[in-house]
Amino acid sequence: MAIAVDEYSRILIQGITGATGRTFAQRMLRHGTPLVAGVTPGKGGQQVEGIPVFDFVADAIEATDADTALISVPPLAVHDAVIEAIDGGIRTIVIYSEGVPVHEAIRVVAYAQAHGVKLFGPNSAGVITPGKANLSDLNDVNVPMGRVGVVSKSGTLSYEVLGGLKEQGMGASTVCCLGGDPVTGIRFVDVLPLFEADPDTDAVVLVGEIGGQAEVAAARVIRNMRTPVVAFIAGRHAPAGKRMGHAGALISGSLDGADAKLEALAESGAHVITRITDVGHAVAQLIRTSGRAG
Amino acid sequence: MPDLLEYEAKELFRRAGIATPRGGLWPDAAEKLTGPAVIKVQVPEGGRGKRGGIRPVPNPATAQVYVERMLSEWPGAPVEAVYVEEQVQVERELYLAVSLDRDQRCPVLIAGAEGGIDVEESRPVTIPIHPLGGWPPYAERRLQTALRLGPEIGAQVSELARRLLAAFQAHEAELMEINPLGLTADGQLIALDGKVIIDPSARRSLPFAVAPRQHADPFLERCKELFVNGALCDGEIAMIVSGAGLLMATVDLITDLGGSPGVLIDLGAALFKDPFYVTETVKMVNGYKPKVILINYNLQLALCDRIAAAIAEAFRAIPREDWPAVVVRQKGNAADEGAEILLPFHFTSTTDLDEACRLAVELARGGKA
Repeated sequence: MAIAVDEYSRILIQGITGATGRTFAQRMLRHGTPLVAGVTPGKGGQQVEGIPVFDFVADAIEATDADTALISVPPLAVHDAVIEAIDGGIRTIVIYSEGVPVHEAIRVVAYAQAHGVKLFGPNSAGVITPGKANLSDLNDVNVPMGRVGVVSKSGTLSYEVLGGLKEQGMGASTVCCLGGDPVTGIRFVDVLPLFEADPDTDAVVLVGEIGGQAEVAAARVIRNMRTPVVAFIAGRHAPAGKRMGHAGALISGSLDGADAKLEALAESGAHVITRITDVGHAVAQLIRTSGRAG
Repeated sequence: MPDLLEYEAKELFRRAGIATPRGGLWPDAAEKLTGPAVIKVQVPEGGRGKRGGIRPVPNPATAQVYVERMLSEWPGAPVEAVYVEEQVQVERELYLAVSLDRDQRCPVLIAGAEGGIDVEESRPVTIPIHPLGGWPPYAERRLQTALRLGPEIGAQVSELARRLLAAFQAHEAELMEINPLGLTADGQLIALDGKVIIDPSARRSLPFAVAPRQHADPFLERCKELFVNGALCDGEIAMIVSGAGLLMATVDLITDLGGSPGVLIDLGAALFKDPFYVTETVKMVNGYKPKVILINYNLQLALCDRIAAAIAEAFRAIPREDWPAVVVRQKGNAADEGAEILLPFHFTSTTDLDEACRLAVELARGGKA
């Protein structure tokens, strides 16, 4: 049982006719992700790799029963795309686009919450359940199937985690990238209970970073989890006061720093590592001692 | 958009119906003011008062010598302009701001009874303004109690806060701060200072043109031009990395090994644009004369060989004697092809991140790879 997306998802790409959307479509079809439609206003009636394109999400849903959307449109078109998707009946959304105005991110996150829609991002590298559905920019060939759940703010660090797992002969059940913007939809506290309830996930890797309190909130959830968690926080040595690419990775208070988060996570029972390159070994060890399969 | 200077913030406040002292930029505004005034350096940082950046002048018309002295003694960031405004006598100084709370995922109103220089000493209250709730009905009561105001002034502060919130949302701000918000003897509220930060991804531009900064950070400006994100540290090991998270983790690894981070670059959007931007980024980084450049990219959507070719282009343009030690770690799509392309350059190459960092630190110490 995957979390968020699986082989029964019926996926549409908003922005399918753009360069990135097209690349995602090609990959999905090559590796068996259930892509059923695309939406680009004004390009209805066209096809991308044999997939029908529609002007409106509602039309796409009527024709294909799509229930999941990957949004790869220009940042100023995201707000519109999300509202349209939710109004049409989409239940799970990944916003791949970055540069979304924060006030619009606030509105779409609230809209999704009010409708009970799972919204990842904005600026999310995506979600992938290997072997079943890939709504991420990770290359399917680099995501081995396995029993480790991965949840990360950073897409690029999720790549490193998967490399580390692969070296230990392990793989991922589902990988969730939350995005690095200050305001995002799905958070650690939303994903962790899903992994805890997933019989196909034996351990979780949590990758956080400086800025905000999301990892401290995650620690409170981890305290009550039976599934073991390995946690890493990027930015322990980040220069103070400088934005290092993730708009959200800016320390504004003493509680937003890496040390406070690591402390909270360690106290909650998570196994914290300070080097991203240690993740493979840490998970392997945890799984051995917890007696689960991996 | 740069962080707004005080005079620009006050212009937004005025347009929102929030009173400010009469004032304008030196020297033009001085002609229109009489009586005791204040001259203030316009710089993108706080704590001006404590460092002599805010000075009273008896008469704006004859303030030239005061302005010159203030500028010559000012120890902080380069001054963009000087602002002169009438001096206003207030009975109380309050604190009022609208900010974004990333964990509550909405704007928040922050209000304190003791504004001014040491506002951190007092304990402000926070009122979330949720998109679904709008202005909360209890806000006025909360403000009145927290700021220790009577009902009449309490209502006025509440109204001013609503206007500040409206401006905050209209202009897509991340922060709009009035510190101090002065309360005069006859019950007028007046914004004595202003700080505004606008979302870099904002859809709309401001209703007036923000003057280009004379003292903009050249490094940050160049990063913007090249579609990369950067931070300038003064160590010996420059790092050019794909992705903000991986950059931070690489800095952590290098620092833990005893290395000192120098120029830090997250290639970001440049990975998907014309390779020219990656080439120019490498040249720019080299311009800071690092001892070592650590290039680290793990590409799942972009292509390693494209990036490697761009890097090769940069080093072909840089004279051999100006090359620092270079460590390259590439992984992901077309990594083998990328390695092929960089082979002739004899950089220290590995696919292992631990090894790449260890080698970079060793090379910085003067060791051989």
